[in-house]
Amino acid sequence: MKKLIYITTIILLTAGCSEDWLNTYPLGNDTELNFYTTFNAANMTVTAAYGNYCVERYFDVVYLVLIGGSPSDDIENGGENIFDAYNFGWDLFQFSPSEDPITDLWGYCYKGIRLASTAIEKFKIIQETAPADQLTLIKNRIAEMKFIRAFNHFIIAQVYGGGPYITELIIPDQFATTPRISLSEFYMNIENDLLEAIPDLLNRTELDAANVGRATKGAAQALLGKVYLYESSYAANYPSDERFAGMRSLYADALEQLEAVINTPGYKLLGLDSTETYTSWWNSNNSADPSTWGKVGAYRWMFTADADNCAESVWEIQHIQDNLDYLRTRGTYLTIFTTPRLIKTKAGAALPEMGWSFNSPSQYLEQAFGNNDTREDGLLSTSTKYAGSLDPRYPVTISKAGDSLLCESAGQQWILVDMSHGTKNNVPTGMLCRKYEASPAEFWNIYTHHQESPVNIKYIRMGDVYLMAAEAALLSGDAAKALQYVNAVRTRARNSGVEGGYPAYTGYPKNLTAVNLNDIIHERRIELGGEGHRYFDLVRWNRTEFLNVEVAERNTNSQFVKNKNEFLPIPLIELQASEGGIKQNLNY
Amino acid sequence: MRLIKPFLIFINQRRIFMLLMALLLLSIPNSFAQLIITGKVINSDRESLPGVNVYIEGTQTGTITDLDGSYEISVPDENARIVFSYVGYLQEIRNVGNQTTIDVFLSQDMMQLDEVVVIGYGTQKKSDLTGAVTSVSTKDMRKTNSNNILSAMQGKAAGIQITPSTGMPGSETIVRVRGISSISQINNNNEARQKVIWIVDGVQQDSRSVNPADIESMKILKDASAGAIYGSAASNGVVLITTKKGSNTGKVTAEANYYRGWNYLPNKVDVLDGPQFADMMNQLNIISYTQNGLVDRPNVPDLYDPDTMSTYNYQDMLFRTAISQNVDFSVSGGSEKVTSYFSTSFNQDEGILKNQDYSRLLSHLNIDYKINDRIKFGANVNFRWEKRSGVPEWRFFDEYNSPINMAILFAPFQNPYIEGAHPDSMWAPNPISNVTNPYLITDITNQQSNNYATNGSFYTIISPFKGLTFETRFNANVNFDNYRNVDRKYYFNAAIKNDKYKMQKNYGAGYGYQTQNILTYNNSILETINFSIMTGFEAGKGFYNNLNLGINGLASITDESLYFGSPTVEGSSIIPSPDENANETRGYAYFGRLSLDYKSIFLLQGNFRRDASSVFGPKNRIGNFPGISAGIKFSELNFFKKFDWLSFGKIRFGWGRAGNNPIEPYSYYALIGSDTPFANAQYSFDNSTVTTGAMPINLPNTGIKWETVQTTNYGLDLALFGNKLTITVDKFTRSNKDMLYKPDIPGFAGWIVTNPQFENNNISSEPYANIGKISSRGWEFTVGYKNSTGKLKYDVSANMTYVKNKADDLKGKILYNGSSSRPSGDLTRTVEGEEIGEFYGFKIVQLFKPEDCDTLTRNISTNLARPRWGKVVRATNQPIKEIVSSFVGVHPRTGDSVFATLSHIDTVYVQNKALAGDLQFWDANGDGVLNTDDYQPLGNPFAPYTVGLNINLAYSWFDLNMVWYGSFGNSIFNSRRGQLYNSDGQSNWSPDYYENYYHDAIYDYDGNLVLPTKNGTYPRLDNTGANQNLIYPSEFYVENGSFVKLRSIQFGVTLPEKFAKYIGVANLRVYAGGRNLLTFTKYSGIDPEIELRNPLLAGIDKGGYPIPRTYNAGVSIKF
Repeated sequence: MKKLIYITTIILLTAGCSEDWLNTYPLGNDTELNFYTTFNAANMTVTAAYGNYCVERYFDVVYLVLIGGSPSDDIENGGENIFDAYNFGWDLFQFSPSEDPITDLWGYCYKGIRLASTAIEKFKIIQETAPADQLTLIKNRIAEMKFIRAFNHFIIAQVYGGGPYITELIIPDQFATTPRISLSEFYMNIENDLLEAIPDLLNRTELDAANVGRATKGAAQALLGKVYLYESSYAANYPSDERFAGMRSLYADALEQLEAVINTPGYKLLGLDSTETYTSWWNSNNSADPSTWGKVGAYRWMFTADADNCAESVWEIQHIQDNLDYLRTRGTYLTIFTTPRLIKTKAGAALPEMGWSFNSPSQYLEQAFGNNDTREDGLLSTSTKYAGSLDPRYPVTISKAGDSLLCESAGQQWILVDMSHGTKNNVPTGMLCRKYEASPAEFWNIYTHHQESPVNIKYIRMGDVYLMAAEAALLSGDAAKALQYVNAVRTRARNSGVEGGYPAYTGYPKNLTAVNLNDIIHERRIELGGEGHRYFDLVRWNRTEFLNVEVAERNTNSQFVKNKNEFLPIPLIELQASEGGIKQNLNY
Repeated sequence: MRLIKPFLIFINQRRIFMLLMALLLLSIPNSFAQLIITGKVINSDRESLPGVNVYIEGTQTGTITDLDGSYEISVPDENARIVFSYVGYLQEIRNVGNQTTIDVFLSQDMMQLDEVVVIGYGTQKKSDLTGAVTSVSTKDMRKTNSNNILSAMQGKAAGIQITPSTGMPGSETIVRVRGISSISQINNNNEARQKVIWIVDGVQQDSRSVNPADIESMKILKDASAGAIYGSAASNGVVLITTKKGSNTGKVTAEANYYRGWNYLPNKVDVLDGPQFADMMNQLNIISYTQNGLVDRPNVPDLYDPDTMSTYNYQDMLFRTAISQNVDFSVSGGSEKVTSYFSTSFNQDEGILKNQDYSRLLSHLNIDYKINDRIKFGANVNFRWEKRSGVPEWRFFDEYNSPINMAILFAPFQNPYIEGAHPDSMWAPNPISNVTNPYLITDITNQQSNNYATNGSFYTIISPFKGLTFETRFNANVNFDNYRNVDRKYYFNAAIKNDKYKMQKNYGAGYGYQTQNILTYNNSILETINFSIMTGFEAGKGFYNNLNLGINGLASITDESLYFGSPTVEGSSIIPSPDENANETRGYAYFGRLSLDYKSIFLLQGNFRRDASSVFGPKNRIGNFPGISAGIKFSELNFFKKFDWLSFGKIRFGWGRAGNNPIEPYSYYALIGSDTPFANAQYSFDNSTVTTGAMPINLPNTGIKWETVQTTNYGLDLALFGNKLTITVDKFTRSNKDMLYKPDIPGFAGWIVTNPQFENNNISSEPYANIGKISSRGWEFTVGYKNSTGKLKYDVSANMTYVKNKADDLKGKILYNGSSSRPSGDLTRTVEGEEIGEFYGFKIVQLFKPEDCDTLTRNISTNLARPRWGKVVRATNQPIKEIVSSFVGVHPRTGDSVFATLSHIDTVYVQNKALAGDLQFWDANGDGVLNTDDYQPLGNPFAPYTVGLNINLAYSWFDLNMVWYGSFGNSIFNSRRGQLYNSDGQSNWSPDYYENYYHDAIYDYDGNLVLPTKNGTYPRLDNTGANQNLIYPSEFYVENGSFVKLRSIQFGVTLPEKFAKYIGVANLRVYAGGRNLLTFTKYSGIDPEIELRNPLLAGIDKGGYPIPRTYNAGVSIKF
């Protein structure tokens, strides 16, 4: 009996732990389960999806400069030397699937896609119980997220030739079973996301000042036009290539979307009117006082932070300068990236290590501005049209030794000194691109906070839209319309270069009388020089042989390999982590 | 005859002893007392041994020693032999002869076969153990000159590898039992996840709370057949400690111990002095201006004049002779009903790096009450306070931040302090490279952390009837961490500066409690089968929260403004969002054990534990951990009894499973990241202000479950020649399954994070998964010999471990791991079927010689607009690939063929930039391209062989204790070689490079020799780094890491008793010795003991804090 009492007591003492007792929750943290109950919560994920474009080494540096620039015949990589941390040998098409930028660009695109899909999913749940006055806003946000999802997927298509098209959360069990779909299907999915987004997006004029950075209907239409143009180009130029099987010729659809943008109020080809000039630090003549600053033309002004969200711009990434810690990036690295390393003041004092000297225009790009390209290789067969003088866009695009650069606040003007190839601190071609310059005041912040340039990245701007429309028109049979759009861009250029007016470029031919595809190729090269388009354009036109030029900084020629270098390799980690579910690109 | 006071029986060891006493008392006859012999019995620590059985050989005549260890015995004649025997000690026999006083030393019996040892939730006779359980001799721990329990254990037990993270005082020490049990990486706080659990008096505790002086006994459960009873956390081994208790004799004893140590940097890295360095910079300057072997001498003057250069030896300046001291005091005693033990120790350690300090206070109190024969109560209370200050430890895990590396590599002619134009500027910039001034690091950071921890445990033991024991225990612990870091104002250059003082504070507080109920029943059936059944239940909870506060913009720091209430603080800007996090873990377990034996010869034991933990998701909370073991004491079998030399023999077999849960709690939840520290969720929609976003920051995995580790062990225990020689051999295999690891997840899943610190608030987005399997297998040998001749006593034991770790199944993945090292990229890989974390890089064929190079002069840009003529020198003896450029078409004007690439068949060399004096890397796959496909395994960071040797000698009043430790067969990746053998002048050089680098003869344009040919063995100087000699991981970095160290030595003198009594103490010993006095190694760095925290990226010398060489001296007194 006594034993029994003891044993019973013990059993009573030991019992009493239920499964519920083990349910613990993360303290001081929100979880997905309790967080997404309101519009504001899902809206915060929308913010995160936009903010993803500000991550270092993703959109600005890797996509626009390293991939859009280096492999092209317009840009050499630059940097301190060929061993610089951001110099990967891509000038020579030496892509390695395990390199960080290749992995990072892929990863951050898909991160943006995941965030957009998460927001869409959460909004769809919230929508069911949301008050009526929120429904329109939810519809707008879902459309914005479809645009962001499509834009990220487009980069994947453009750079890697596609991958899995992701619209929902992928869990570990699905890693090996999520397929890489064909590129034609991939393009169709992008187009569908954009087509679904367009009706629910707001026009730019409907956005208030607080929301000026959001995706608009115009942005989606312009992107859709671009996507149609890419699909059509691949269909036309790679007819028997398996990689592009199933692609359709949609030039007319492209033209329709692009013209919709051209005709939307709020957008205009800035500076078409020769009387349109802007006061800018760029023409400050050593003065820190804005009241004494001179005028510049629109084509120069629109590359400054003052022109953020101007009428030229259709889809841009917002950057601001708030000088927070390293990697808390709301600005861009592009300014420090493209500023020369070695600068002297007018007084002669050397200012070393001011910038990092990347994105260096090649001798071929320089020659294209003045028609001095000695390669009579067929590409520039219409070149006589441009003979005789420098294009007004030249000084906006390229700086060389001896050019005046920025102003110090004390009024000392800087000049670039020797940028010739060969010694440390200099750039390989002796030239750098000026399109991402910041004002002196902004620059001194950037100098200590490298990531903090406030210059917005104007990824799709009207110059590009006009030229895409011209190409779509020409290839859908309307050469007259194509001529009209190309001439509009040329007229704007003549009227709005850095000096801001016609007189400086009297020899510059204003209007072409006829236009063919080579004219459009030339015009895109000049209009968009240094902005990260050329490599992708030459690939879609299948004119990749022209990528094989001498790379001064490597002392050798680049070697584009057809059937391979049209796309970058899929990151190695994708092949491994998907357990073979994702296949590598052709010939890598 | 003296009256023997009854002793309280508390542990079974004493019970046996008391039975013996009783037996003796009954059996003493009235003998014919002819000779009276008196004497004293003491142990090797000069402690009196009361209760020693003293009798005349071959008779039952005898006595036992009294409290002072004294005895008096009558013997019949001079031929009699007196036997001294005592439980746990080796028996001594003495001839009487003409002596009247016989003093005797008794040495401890290493086997202590009848000793009752603590096993999980119970006790067992040592000879009945069937699992792989190692006893660590605690008697000599004090003699290792260490107040750190882990350092004191080093080299003392087979299969236990102990490596310090760094030599910084108070640094974490990594204990690995039998190799690597899991590849789960270091956690966010840089602590290794693979942890041995410490059970102190039945309660899991932090090893840092254990004072070596308080330890009565220490056991290590090495395999899961024994450890499974601790279930979920036992896969890395369990250390069981019983602390000292008061004796029930009514006597109070006190003991005090003090020692002082002098610590030194063990070894300096040789670097160039100022003049040598200047000379080297001049040579580099000439070489970098050389074209075609010629230098335009007048236009390339020397950079420096070596004769005017002074030398600052930064290693001497930054390190110091550091003083450490330790004092401890204990008092114990008790009566039949109450016993108590109290100890406290205070320890202060200066780091050998300036400003680095550590101090620790430990207190321990234990009280036992005996209500009656059935009920006992007891309590244990511990308190710990640790204080650290100086440069934070993380810097020593990062070569770019380690001030030690900076001291080695900084420009040697530069005075560290110069007065700059800026008021906050005093640190000299490095005139030649970007290696930071080490004083900048040691001067500007001032961190201080205090950790307080207290632990209390209360227990009741009820034995209602014979054989049944019920034990219930409640433990609670509270801890508090207080961290403060002040970054002072400084100005180094425009980019590296701090305009205002910054202060960061962190408060962490936690508590935990645990309840245990254990029921044990012992009995026997048919008088031959003994059994013991134990069942138990345990439940517990742990909670910890952590608050971070920061403040910027302080104009000055005074003692007052270190606190937020100060007016100078209130005027500044508090970082807007204090960051707080908390976590809570809960768990419970049922467990049981059945032990059976037949005549104490055939032994069988089974364990089982069922654990439930909140760390895992609802579906996978339960883990079952079984263990079974068996043994045969074959020496008890009749067949073996005839072998006199065989004192004891046992074979053992054990199998078991234990768990591992080295993951953060809540990984099955998707957490939301937001707010300021979480950077990239923010965007500016109006192009001027920031909108805060939020998003899920980790991919939850609801399917994760326990990682289990399965072990198999075969063992043999032998004791020969009267237990003088003991041998233990174990063969073990351990393999885990469902290994918890964060495998790479594909980018398309959308969770990329390249800077977790900024992007994800340090939370890793990848989910844990149960993937793969690793294993370790090996052998352990322990041999001990103990004997005495005359006054010389010796006790020598050696242990050797062989262990090989292998990755068996990684689901086909190869795990690459890199670091920020000078050779960038991945330095190690772990691949299926190979060892874990092996170094990986290029093999080096040779240094290119002039005859390997082909000189040709040609237009190197034939088809380009700007022809450039140059001289191309290329190394030709690598495999050559011919590239035929592709034909594009015909030139419209000239009619020539146009090629897309090169206009002719060109030869592409594998190392087309290489010149004589560059490293030739092995193009292992012969494809004409050097890339990671050519990487080869270069060595293993984990030593397969480790050896410990413990020597104890005592002669009369003198004693000597030595511990030797050796580690063989591993490699070290010496990343500092990339800097000490640099080719571009980015840091100071090794004299070895200065003497032995390669260069060709250089002449000026007048034909004068500027630099003669130097046929050195190291790569040439080349500031363009064209061949990239050092930027790849290669054989160049990997060195033999084997070493032997004299871990500790101590020489002691015990004051003869009569002198001791004269000054009023019972025992007084003075001693002197040291730690790490001798190191034998071929390794060229400071110290071959490199941190091995992360199994996948271990053994890389990144400028870690070296383990100091210490001399010390002390005194211990007993009252």
